[in-house]
Amino acid sequence: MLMQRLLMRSYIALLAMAGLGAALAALAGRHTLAVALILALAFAKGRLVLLDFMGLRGRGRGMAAACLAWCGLLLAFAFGRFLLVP
Amino acid sequence: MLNDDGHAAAGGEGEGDLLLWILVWSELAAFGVLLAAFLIRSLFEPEAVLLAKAQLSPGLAALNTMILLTSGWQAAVAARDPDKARWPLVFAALAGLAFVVVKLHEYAGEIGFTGDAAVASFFELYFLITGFHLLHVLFGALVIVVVAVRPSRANVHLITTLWHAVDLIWIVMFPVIYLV
Repeated sequence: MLMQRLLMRSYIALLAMAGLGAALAALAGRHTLAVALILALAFAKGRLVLLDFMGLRGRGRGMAAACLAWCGLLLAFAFGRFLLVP
Repeated sequence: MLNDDGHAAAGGEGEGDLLLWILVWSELAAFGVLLAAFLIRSLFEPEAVLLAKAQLSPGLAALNTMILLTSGWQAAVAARDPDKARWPLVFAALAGLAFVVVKLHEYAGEIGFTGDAAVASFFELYFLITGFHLLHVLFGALVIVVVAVRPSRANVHLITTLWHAVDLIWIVMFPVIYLV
């Protein structure tokens, strides 16, 4: 029951972050801070999926870190590209 | 070691995970290369990319994000209690199929741009990356249906972990392709 509640909480947080990211993109467009926030939200969503949905919280820390690094590298690359060619 | 159903006990939450994670990482590596290629390409053709991105439907993609997150949530519920996994798996598969329907609807409005020389190179990569992901969602949803018919702990663990990897790929792909 506790686990189901945790999953529900993560799910609601994920939906909120997805909505916020889409709203930011629609309202703030290509402002640097908005882009940074959108990418940070994507990273946070990936973290929640890995830790709570995939069940890597508290176990498989190395694998969680490696998967998060995959997300972080691509999102950082996207941010770098945006800074170079806005 | 077998459980009551004759399936491998506790599936893969141990040594059996090695092959599962090799599979997950093969997906992450493939999509990582594709997304990196997309970003590098957009460095060299920034105007064409901006022009092409204006033709995309980020609203539909955002809707698909919500759908895939809902599916992932149901898959996680199934994985936590494999004895009651059937209906959460069915809901996860249905949400996956809803993702496919929305994406095909989105494609219908975009396919015409492949003939436009100004944005053709963007749309080539766009359809390659999102289409490859779409095939993963479609195939994954069908496998989830098969697992839902006769869920075993090992199979539920396997398909839900792969499903979350597909989910994770979309979470990164969405801002990279549509928003930034």
